[in-house]
Amino acid sequence: MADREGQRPVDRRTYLKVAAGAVGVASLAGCSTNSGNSANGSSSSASQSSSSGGSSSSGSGSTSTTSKSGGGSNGPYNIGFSSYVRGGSWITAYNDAAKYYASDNDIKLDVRPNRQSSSKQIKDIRDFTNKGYDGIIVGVWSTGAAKSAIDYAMGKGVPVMSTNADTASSKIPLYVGFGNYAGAHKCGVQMVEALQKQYPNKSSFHVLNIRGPQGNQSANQRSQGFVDVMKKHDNVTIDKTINAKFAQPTAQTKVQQYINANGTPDGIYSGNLSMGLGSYGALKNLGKLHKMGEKGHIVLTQMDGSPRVNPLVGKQYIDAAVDQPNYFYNPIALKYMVEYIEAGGVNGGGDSVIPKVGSTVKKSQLSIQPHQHKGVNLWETPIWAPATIKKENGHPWFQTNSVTITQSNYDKPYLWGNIWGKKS
Amino acid sequence: MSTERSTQRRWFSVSDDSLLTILEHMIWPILAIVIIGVLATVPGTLSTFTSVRLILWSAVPIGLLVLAESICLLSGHFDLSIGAVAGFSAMFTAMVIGNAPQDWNVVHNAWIGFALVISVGLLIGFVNGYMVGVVGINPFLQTLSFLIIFQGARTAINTQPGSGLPHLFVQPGGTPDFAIGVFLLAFVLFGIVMRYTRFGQAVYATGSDDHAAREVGVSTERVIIAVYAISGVLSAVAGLMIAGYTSVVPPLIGDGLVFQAFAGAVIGGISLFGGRGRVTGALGGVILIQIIQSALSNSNLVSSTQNQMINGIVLFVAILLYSTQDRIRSRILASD
Repeated sequence: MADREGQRPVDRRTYLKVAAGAVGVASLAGCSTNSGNSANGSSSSASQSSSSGGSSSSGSGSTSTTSKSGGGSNGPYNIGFSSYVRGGSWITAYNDAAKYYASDNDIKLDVRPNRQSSSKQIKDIRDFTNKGYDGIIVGVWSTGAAKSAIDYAMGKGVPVMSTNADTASSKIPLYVGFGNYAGAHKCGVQMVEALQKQYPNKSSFHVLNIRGPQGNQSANQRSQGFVDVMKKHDNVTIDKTINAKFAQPTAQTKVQQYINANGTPDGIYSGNLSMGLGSYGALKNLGKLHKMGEKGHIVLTQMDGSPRVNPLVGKQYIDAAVDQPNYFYNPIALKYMVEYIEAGGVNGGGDSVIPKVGSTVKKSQLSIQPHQHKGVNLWETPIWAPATIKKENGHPWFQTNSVTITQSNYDKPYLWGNIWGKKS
Repeated sequence: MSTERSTQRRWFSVSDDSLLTILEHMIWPILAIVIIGVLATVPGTLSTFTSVRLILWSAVPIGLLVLAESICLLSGHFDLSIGAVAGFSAMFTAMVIGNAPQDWNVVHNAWIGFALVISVGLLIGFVNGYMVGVVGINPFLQTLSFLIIFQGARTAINTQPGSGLPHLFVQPGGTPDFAIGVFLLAFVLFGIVMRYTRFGQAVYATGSDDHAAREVGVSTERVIIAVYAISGVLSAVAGLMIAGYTSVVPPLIGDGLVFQAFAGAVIGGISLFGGRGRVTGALGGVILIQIIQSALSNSNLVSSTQNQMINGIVLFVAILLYSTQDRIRSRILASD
């Protein structure tokens, strides 16, 4: 480009060179195409191994939740919580639950937003460690990136537990989250049952599998769990697996064009909230949206409930959705954290309180005391139970159960979408 | 002898002109070949009026972004922030006019929503233009920073679908024929503006050589501000169309669209170096991409793992074609 007055000339080739550098900067700043894609439609680079994906950040600084009264433990304990921040109702539920539980149980919780940045999270974990916090809970932003800071904390004797998204560190005593594969498997079972109920006289069925990006571990698990159920049924064929990139418009476009070109399937499975709404929108646009039991109804099952999905299940447009007990993740981790500290911590006998890998934790074995929050008796229904203790990344994984949302429970107060989706 | 030479020269001149014209409109024969190929291999993709309508409807948001990017490219500039502007303007407006629990519940009025979404896009575009055209900030860095800022701001205000929107607000993007009409009208309008108005010629002149453009009296600063302002408005309208298409503002609205917009513009023959290309060519680029994507999705022979790779190959072939076109064009012009 020719020079402006008083400025050095810059040609367009220089622009292109700058662009190459700029794209690098953009990548570092987290602006790559796929960085925002996660299983539940919110943003998290930890979605590669997360159960839901996190959120995004705008907030700054930290917020502290102090205990109201003494509890039965040797508290109050200072627990650092490196989390996603306020934004959507999923993350709000996840974060609020941590604050409510801390407030109810004599725990001083220092909440710091990761601001969609691994380096910010690493800095906060190290800061919690250096300031001598009693423990750290991490809603991991980037599975691999947080490892060094978590190892550092554990090395200094500060226990770290992760929730929602796992860390690559093998040293942590516990990770709490649900299983994508197990959830998708449930959706598959629901699909087969609903197909047989909807079309009792049909001998074979054709379905679509709407999935997230290949290469994303969460997307792979959310697809594979469904595919494996379909494989067990010879009379069910997956006509097409469509990559809708976890995005509603993409799912809507691809599903409606596919159906228009190839005919109507008997059922559609969608691997996350956004794609489920996209599939629903596609049927609506094509005039093929019918209620369960009505002629022409296409069976819809999907991962994730939400304030929008739950009513559609109630209206019988969506047959079933498998949801996460997200407001239990942090309370469960905090409860084990306190027990772990009191049993001796990292260098003492802390591990003795962690359930053994291979075992099952029933609701009678772990109690999260209900309290009044958000107009409901929060944690009253232990939808996390039973949990199975697995080994993941070299550490125990408290794999919670999931909730299947159907017409019989779509409006229940234990679904996060019905608690945090209500007008306040 | 001299008559023979003169005839020969004239014949070559006519032939060169024809060749240049063909090169200038190369997207259309390519599009025709692709359509024939799709009809032969995945006929369901284009077999009915509904099929074509669905493809065009889904092309509306990306089409408007391609148009925005094309105008910037023609002026010799780039706008990396178009997707972010589409996303932020739609999400911000949804928060203001929506009545869902997470919304701000300021006012539930579609007309205010239309005005707001366009104003937000216009304002961001104007600031982009001012910073690039008047302050002199490198357009890549300026629009990259706005991409980061507004993508982050969109997510900061809401990470869930923006819902509870007034019915009228989602009508433009949710009514296929209206949305397609807006899309085609925008291309026709800007096709005419760019070709037949002083402003259009000023954009081409600025993109071709802004020093020379200033010498002949073009206020390049104003042109650049106007171009970015138009880009902002078109991006905002794209955001509005996405909101209508899905009846909500998706949480990741606008992500990754800038790359598709560049691809559409380049495939449509818009030069990355400014001053060359046609808006109508960009329209062809959008339609080509949408038909190929639709055919790949609809085909049972292509798995979802292969889609992205094939899309990339299409872009690569287009770039090769245009690079060859550039060389042929330069050779013809040099021989004159």
